[in-house]
This record gives sequence, C-alpha cells and structure tokens, in this order.
Amino acid sequence: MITDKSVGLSEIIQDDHPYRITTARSVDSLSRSVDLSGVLHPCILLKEGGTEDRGGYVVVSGHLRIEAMKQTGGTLVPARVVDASQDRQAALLHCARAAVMDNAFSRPLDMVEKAKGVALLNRYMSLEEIVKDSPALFNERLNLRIAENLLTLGRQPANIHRMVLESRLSIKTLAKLETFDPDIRDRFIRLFQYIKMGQNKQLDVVVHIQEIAAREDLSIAEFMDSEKVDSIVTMDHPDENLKSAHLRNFLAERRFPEKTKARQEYRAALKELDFGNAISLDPPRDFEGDTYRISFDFKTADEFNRALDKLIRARYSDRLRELIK
Amino acid sequence: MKIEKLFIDPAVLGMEETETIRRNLKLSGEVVEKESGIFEYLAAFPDPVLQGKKTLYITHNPGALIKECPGTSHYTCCDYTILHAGTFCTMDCSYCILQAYFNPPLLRYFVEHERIRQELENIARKDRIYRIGTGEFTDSLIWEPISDLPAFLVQQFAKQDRAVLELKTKTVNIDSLRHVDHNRKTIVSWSLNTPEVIRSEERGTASLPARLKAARKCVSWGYKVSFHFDPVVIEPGCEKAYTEVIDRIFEYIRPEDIVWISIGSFRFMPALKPMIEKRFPESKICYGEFIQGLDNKMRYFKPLRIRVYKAMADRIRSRSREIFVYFCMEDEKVWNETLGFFPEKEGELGHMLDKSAAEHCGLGTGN
Ligand code: SF4
Repeated sequence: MITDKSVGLSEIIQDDHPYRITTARSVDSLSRSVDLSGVLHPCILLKEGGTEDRGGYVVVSGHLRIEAMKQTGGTLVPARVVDASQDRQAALLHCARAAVMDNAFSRPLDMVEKAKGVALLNRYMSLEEIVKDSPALFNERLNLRIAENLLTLGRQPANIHRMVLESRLSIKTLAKLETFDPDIRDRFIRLFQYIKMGQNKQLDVVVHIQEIAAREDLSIAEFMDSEKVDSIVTMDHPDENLKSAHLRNFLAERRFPEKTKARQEYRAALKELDFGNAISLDPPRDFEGDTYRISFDFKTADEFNRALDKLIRARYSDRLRELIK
Repeated sequence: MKIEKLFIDPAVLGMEETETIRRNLKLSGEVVEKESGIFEYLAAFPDPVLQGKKTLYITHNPGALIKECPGTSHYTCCDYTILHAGTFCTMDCSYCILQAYFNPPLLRYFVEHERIRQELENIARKDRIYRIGTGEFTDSLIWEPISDLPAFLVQQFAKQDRAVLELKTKTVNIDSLRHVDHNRKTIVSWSLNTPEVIRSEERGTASLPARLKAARKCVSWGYKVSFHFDPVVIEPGCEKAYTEVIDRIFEYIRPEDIVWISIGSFRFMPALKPMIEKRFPESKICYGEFIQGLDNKMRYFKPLRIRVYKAMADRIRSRSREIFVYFCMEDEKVWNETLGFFPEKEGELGHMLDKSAAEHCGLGTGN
C-alpha cells in the first residue's frame, strides 16, 4: 500500500490541499535549506486518479517542502506514496493520521493547526477516538471538551482562523458563538474585528449582550445595532483597550443597573468622607457580606499621622455611619 | 407528566408497595440488577433529564432515611429534617436544582414503609421536636396517585407527638389525605409563586388558584397548612405581583390555619445556569441581577431582595401579625431590615419554628 519513490512536481495536485494543516506561509528559510541539501525527509503523497491536465498525487504532508522545491527549481520530490486503490477507507485514515503526526512530532502545533488536525481526523474517527489516541496523534493529551472546541474551530473559514491566530478571537468565545444563528455570530465576529480584548473579556461581552437582550425583550441584533453600542464600536480612536473598556463598562452598567447604582452612590458618599487617594474603604464584595476593609499607604511618619487624623475625624461622621449601614 | 417506563430492583419485587405502584401505573416493569442499566437507557434520549421524569425505578433507599438539612454557615438555616422517601419529580420547573443533583436524575421510589415506621418510633422516644419533610429531593405529593406513601406517612406521624410532617407540593394530589386520621401531625404545604412565574417557569404544576383551593380543602379536613414563596423571582413589578398572591392566600385560608410562611429568592449553583439555558431556552430566570453569594451560589443583589421581601412581609403582617414568617437562607441585615429581628443564636430559627409547629399541631416534648 505504501511505496517509496520520486514523484515529478508536475504530477502533484497544486490547487487542492485537503490534508494541509500547517498555518506557516513563508518558505524562505526552508528554500535555502532545500537549495543546500535537497529534501531530507520524504513527503507523503496520496495517489489519486489524475487526468491529462491535473496531476494524480495529493499532498498529505510536506506542503512546505514542495513549495520550497518549486522556488528552488527542483523537479523530483522524494516521497512515500499511499495507494488507495485496495482499501480506500483505510488509506484515507492513514493519510489523515500521517498529516497530523508528521507536523505534531516535528514542532509544537498552534491552535489552528490542532483544530484543522481534529477536523481532518474527525472525517474518519469519532471525537472520543481522537481524544483517546491524542498523545500518539498530537504529541499531547486532549480532553473531550477541548477536542470539541478544536473541532468547531477546525470547521471555520480562513478569516476566523486568522482572527484566532492574531488573538482577536478566542476558541472559547467561538464555541459560544456557535450556539447563535449565523447572522448573530457574524455580528460578534465583526465586533471583535473592531475591538481586540482578552479571552475572558470577550466571553463576558458576548454573555452580557445576550443577557441584556433577553432582559429587555430585544433581539441580540437590535441591541447590537443600537446607537450606543454602535457608537462605541465605531468610535474613531486608535486605542483598542480604551474602546474595549468603554464597551465593557457600558454593558456591565446596563446588565446590572442596581448594582451599578449602589456602587456609584457608595463612591459619591465615600468622596464626602474626604479620605483622598491615600485611604481606601472597600465595601463587602457586591455588598453581600458584612465586612468592610480599610487600608492606606504611607511613606513617612507624617503621612501616617495625616491618614490617621482623617480616620479619627471620620469616626464622628454621619456619612460613615450611612456608608456602613 | 406520565410515567412511561418502570424499572424494578429485584430486591423489592413482590413487596406490597411495589405491587401497588405496578397496579396503579398499569405497567409490569422491567427488573434490573444494576442502576447503571437505567442510566444507559436514559442517556440514549435527547433530553435525559426529561426522560428521567417519565422513568420510575422502584428500589430501596441505600443510604440514610432521615437526614438533617445541610444548610450553610453564612445564612440562617431552618434546621429541617429530611425524610428521604424518593427522588426527582414528574413536574418540570426551569429552576429545579434536582436536574443537576443526580447524574442523570431519575424518579426513584424507595420501598421503606417498615424502616419509616421504625425511625418514627425512635423519634417519638426523643426529647425534642422534629419538623420533617419529604419535599427536599422530590415533590411530596407526586407519589399520591400511584402509591399510598403520603397517606401512610400521615398515619404514622399521627401516632406520635414529637414530630410534625410537612408535605410540600406544587400539585393538588390530596384526595388520599381526606379520610386519614392525621391527628394534626401533618402540615400540608404549597410552594407558591405569581401566576406569571408559574406559567413561564413551572411546567406541569397546578395553577395558583388550584393550589389555594386544594389548601382550603385540606383545612376543611382539619389539616394545618403552610406556604413557601420559593423561589421569589425578582423582576420589575414583582413586588405588586407577589403581594397580590399574598392577598389571594387570605381569600382562601384563615390566618390561624397557617403554621408558617417562608420566603426565599431564587439562588442557584453556577453549574445550573447552562442546564436551564439548554432545557428552557425561553426562560429568563437566570438573567436577573445576580451576584455570587457567600455560599458561592448565585443570588439576587441584596438591596433587591430586601425591597421585595419587605413588601411581602409587610403585606402578610397587615393581614395577620400572628403568622410566623421566616426567610430561607438569608443574613442578619435582610432579617433586620424586613422583619425587624434576627434569630441570631445557632438553632434559634429552628426553635421558633418548633414553637409554631407545637402550637398549631399539638406537639410536646414531655418536659
Ligand atoms: S415541583 Fe419541585 S421538585 Fe418538582 S420540578 Fe418543580 S422544583 Fe423540582
């Protein structure tokens, strides 16, 4: 079923790469290496029918080596050829495994490569089987939830893969977005194209938007199209962190109006105590417990005494009593 | 919800309770050696939780029959005692914690009449008061149409004066309680909610008027009753809706027939949220203003709880100052700001409830 031989570049299919999982684009360094020493490890090719104007070999692994050979003017590729004419299913499974393993055991795979690997293998194996064999396939142990998320990512188009590679979209967020209609999913994708934020913040944004819409009897689309959201997303400001903070604050206020109001009132009352910046008086988390916490910074004995004076003065303040009621 | 599938533990085959259920369900049932076989059966359904509500397993209770309610250290607990007579429920409330408790959940009826008899004899010899309920892991009265469990329990409790049984339900399955000599040792209790919440969150339960009518019938048969507003669902306008429900209670029941009314707002383990979102996509119950409580459960922001509780407590008080009103799992500030007192000492709330039970139900400790 497998034969080692040299295959002409012209016989290799150039416009269809069902087994390609690598995300690397540049082959410049590899070209120099191929120029110097030729292709050291044989590529894996699948022998398909082939026609007059189309080669008969599909690249299973070695896409970059073949690319490098083209650049250096090579013509013959050293290859291990898989023949699918006897037991096609077994041959295709072998190719899928080889495509993943050949990459995974030569370097760490990035998230998209793993995802493409899982999606490729899932054509022939169940997710449970992939998880079970993951140390042998991916050179690392995957669990079922990670494998499910990777499968979701693996099935996405190239623009989503690019966003994940650029850390513009997290795999967890993507898994959440998959629970929405495609139109809503695309709106969120566009939002994250505009505003970059970390994985947890992204998820918070999605969940808050979903829940605000539910609370206010709006569709997610209506809420996302609202003037306020739109004005933050399209704000003409180069600092994406600032835009992200604006959006998250706005969403948190809208999602938790009473809590926001209580916080604002607390802050206003605290201001009247005139503690300044050096002393902080923190309420119980979410105003749920009953323990307040006071702390202050000082560099000198004078600063210490000044802070102490302020605290002693606050003892008699009605404001303090109102604050800690 | 109709029970469609019956599994039977070989250990309870031929026992009277088993045969009664078989007869009433008109199902011969399938004998299974291991519970895991039932889990496999359930797992094959798209919604195993829903299927668990239509699947009954008759077996013994492998653990303790009588348990103290676990409570938590941060919020005041009512020191209730649980009689573990069965699990799960044929109704389907979006917020039901039982969906996430057992894995997967399944209706289990425990054939334990004899053990119950013995446990109650032990309790009758003790020198304290017990408030015992079967409604912690199941609804107390879903069993009434298929078994004699509720009537049996009422009869057993009637024979002693240390413990009171609270049958907590959202059904109107009370017929078998009618001609039982209860000796006032059973409180029939309804969880109440606003018609809107019942409609949107409590699938398959009886309507508010039906529950109140059933309560009135029980009172006419000499039973005392109690009511539990749990979970109070806080949304705009809910104060009005809940106080209206309180008004309705007094259209049906006299204050002196009510042993207590409890109030507790919706709280949930974070793990329940995805389950509710999946099984009840129309429900908005998880989207209130929740914060993480000191027991790590999600609960409404405290000022919101206080606002609603105060409106409810004031309305009850305006109807009767005698009814004992208490909160389920709340802290000092909530108690003080709404009821004007706080049962501070450990066990104090329990003692207050014992006292109310003793007065209404004729309990005594012999001291
Ligand atoms: S009635 Fe009670 S036990 Fe039954 S589903 Fe509703 S909350 Fe759960």
